[in-house]
Amino acid sequence: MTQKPKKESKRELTETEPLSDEKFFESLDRVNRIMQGSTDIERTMSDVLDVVLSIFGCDRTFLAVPCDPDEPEFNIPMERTSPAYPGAFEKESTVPMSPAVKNLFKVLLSSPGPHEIYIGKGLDPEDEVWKIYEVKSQLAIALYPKVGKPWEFGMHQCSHARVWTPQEKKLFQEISRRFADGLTSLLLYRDLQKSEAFLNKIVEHIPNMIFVKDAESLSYVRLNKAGEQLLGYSREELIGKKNRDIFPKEKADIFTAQDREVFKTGALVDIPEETITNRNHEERILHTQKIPIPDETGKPGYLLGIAEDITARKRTEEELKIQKQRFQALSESSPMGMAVIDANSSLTFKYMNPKFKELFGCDITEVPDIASWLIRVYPDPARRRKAQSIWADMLNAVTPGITRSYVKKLGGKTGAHRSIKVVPVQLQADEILLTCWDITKNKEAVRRIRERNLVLGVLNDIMASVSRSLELSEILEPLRIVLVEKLKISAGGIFFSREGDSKIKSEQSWGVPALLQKDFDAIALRCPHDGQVLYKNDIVLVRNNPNGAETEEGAKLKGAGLRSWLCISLCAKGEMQGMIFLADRKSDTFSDDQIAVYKTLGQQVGVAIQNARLFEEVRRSDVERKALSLRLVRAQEDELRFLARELHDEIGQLLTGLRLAIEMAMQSAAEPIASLGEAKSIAHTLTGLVRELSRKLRPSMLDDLGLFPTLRWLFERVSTQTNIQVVFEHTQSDTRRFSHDVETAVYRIAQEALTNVARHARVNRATVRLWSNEKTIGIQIEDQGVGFDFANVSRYGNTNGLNVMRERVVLLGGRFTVEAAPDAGARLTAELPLEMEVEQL
Amino acid sequence: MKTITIVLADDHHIVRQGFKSLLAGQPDFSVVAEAGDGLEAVKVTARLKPDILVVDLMMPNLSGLEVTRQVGKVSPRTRVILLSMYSDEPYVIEALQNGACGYVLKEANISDLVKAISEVAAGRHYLSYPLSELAIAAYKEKTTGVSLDLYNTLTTREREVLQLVAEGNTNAAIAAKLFISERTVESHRASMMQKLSITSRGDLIAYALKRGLCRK
Repeated sequence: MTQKPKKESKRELTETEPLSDEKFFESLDRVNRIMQGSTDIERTMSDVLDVVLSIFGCDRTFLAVPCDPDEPEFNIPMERTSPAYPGAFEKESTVPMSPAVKNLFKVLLSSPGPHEIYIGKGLDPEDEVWKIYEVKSQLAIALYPKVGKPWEFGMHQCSHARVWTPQEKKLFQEISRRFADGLTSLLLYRDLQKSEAFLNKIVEHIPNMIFVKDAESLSYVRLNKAGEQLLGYSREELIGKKNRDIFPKEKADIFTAQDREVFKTGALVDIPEETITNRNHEERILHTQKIPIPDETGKPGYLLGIAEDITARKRTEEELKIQKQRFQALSESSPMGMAVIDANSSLTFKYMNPKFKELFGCDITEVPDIASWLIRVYPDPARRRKAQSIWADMLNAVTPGITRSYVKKLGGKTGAHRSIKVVPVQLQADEILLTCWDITKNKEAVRRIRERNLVLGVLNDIMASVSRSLELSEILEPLRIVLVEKLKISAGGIFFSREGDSKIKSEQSWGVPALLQKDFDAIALRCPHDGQVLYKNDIVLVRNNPNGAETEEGAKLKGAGLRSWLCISLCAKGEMQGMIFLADRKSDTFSDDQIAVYKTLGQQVGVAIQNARLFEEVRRSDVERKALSLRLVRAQEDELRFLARELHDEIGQLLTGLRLAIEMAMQSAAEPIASLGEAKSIAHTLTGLVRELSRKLRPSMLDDLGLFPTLRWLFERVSTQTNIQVVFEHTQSDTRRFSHDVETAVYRIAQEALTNVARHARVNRATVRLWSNEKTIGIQIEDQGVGFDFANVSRYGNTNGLNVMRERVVLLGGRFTVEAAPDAGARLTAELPLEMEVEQL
Repeated sequence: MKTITIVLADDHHIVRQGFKSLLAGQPDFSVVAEAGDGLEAVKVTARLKPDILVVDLMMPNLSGLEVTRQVGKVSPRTRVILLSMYSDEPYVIEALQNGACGYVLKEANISDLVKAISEVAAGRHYLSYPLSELAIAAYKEKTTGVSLDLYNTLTTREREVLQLVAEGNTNAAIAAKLFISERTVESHRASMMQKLSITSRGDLIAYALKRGLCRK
């Protein structure tokens, strides 16, 4: 289409007026022709809108649907426009409802004919609807096709506020009427097409084969996809073919006879199962239904066949049958009891295999459900009541896919107990398969193994604790734990005689009943004299005598619920040193087959106690020896201190007095007396000797001034008296004082060590290090001299005072370290605790 | 010349008498009181406040050193001369530190004490021959000693263990490296930490880093 300027269209518009009768009918005719010419609704609408656009010379023709003011939106299925005013809407565009349109729709639906508006008459050019599409005049009418909602059919003039002439309105109304009729049939046709397509789709996609045969020739006229797949022929290949063309002759004849039958009876023929072999030589089992379809005249025209492929289902059924047979065979010969229970509330038996019947001596006829079965397997009513709820819980807990096994102890007071392992399995369709077998013998074996393990464990524990410690108290506690926790002995006590006391006393006891609280020990100690002696050697085992007369003690124990007892007497050198007394609620705890454990246990404990005793003795004597040594060292040092003081103070002072007296005498004498001068000289020498002797014994300044001034003095003395230079390294202040023992030890070690250096090291230099903190004091004497082989020195007993030093340090609870090697110097380190932990005697 | 008042304290009667009669011969000396033990010496001195207290270093109840200290408080103007049988420097040092002005050896000539009293009364210090303040200073200088580096007190094993712990080894690893038992390692480690006054592994590593025993 060529673009025309707006002016021209205006001119053209004026030329068409007035509308002649000739043009009126010609226009109607054009519309009629379009309507009849096509079944395509799209094309028809487009053509009509084009014709109307040209007839009226307007700027836009359009359709809107639904013309319903109550809808939230409407659709513009078609629109044509003049070139000057190109399309306002997208094709098939949806427009939301606006108040102006809503109002317009109301007016249109209530108007019998076309409705016009233009600027100056009901059209507000500022209204959004008109403004956007530049509408200055509109003529519209509601169309009522017989299908669906009303439509709006309208024309727009955008070039000017056109006033529509009566003829124009009449022509528009006439065109509209035809358009409405045409739309009706077009819409109907469209719907029909749609539903036919839908039906075809269903037929095509239905999983069953659908075929149609012509009644006359019985040749195929139609086949769906499922049919193509089933038969192995495409529809193009099959259509026109007959039974004989695709099936073997015999089969085909049978089918043909069936087909004829359908027409003969005029009713549905149902073939529940038939087997065909298709083009691919696959055997297929079908369930087929055939129905006669009459033609227009009422005579049967077609045969409709519907066939379902039941091959898979049939196979499954077969399989199931085989499975069932298998189960039957299996269960009938199974060495395990098997029963199927209806899992519904009734819990009835559906099946029992021969073994199940044999296991429980019952039959499905006499024992129809679990309840009656429980009566049979739990003869004791009290146990049964308990069992009932347990069984109910167990069966309720059965879930598909989860297999759990249970062990049930069946039997009662009269019958022997049996342990049955039960595995309930949830089957389909609310069935439970119960598989059971008798494991009484296994259980018994397991129990024996467990017992043996327990015994081994007990002995192991005892051995471990015995070898771990030599302390009596540390052996008794694990022993008690083993008896209580492992062997689970209800009550008992451990009795011992302590050192220096021949009487046996209770060390430990447990589980003593309140009734016996007071005289439990007395009863226990009486027991070994009344019972049955089982073993008498390194230990003695005595058990309550089941056949003997009831003793007073036995009666008392029984009264407190302790039905059996055992005494393990521990002897050493023919003397009873202790006893383990055990009492238990069960009567068979100390039966003959159990006694070996207690015997071994007793022997172990006996040995352990012997060891502990020996160790105790050794330790005691060691402690005593140490204490004695310490006392000796102290006494020695005290003696030295006393002697030193005595020499120095008493004798020294006396000598001083003597000297004073001599001097006085010399002063008062008229002339010098030679003997007095000699006496004075002797007194002076004596004073010096006494002082030196005193110093050597023990320098009094160690007590008077403390360790540090004394050490400094010692080092200075060593430096001046020998050729050894002592280097003193320390962290101290001089004022700190320590205990007599510590100060003496440190001083003596320093003295001894430096003496050794001077005598043996062949050096002229030694370093003494001294340090202390809150807990310890340390001294170290190091020289770079010839050193020595400490091992050799020790071996030959010439320890150069090292042993004396070590002894001093060890007695005060300290550490003494010697690091020495030939030609590599020597280093002695002594560390002493400031607070000595006094070892208890 | 003013008379010098003197209190004489010695637990040995015979010695005390000897000195007393010796001093009585001096014209400007006056022995105003005697004491037989340390406590009595302090009491008498506090009461009489003499110019000079002559006191024996070794006395029952309270030693001469302690008497010297206390007299400094109860009678500050009294000057103390210690009589002693010890010529050992630590005693002299202790005496001077406690405030004594004179230190006279009992073995010296009797005239020595007279000389000491005169010197001390005149406000000077007096030490019997061969003692001298110079010699005491020299002794102090000689015996001062040097500051101890605690690391030097560690035994060879302890040093090895310190090094290996600082390098991040476990006791088990150290035991394997040194071919000793784990318990021995534990013992060395405890001893080493005790010597160095270290209580935690963190402090130990800090110490090792500071000493350059291991690298970060």
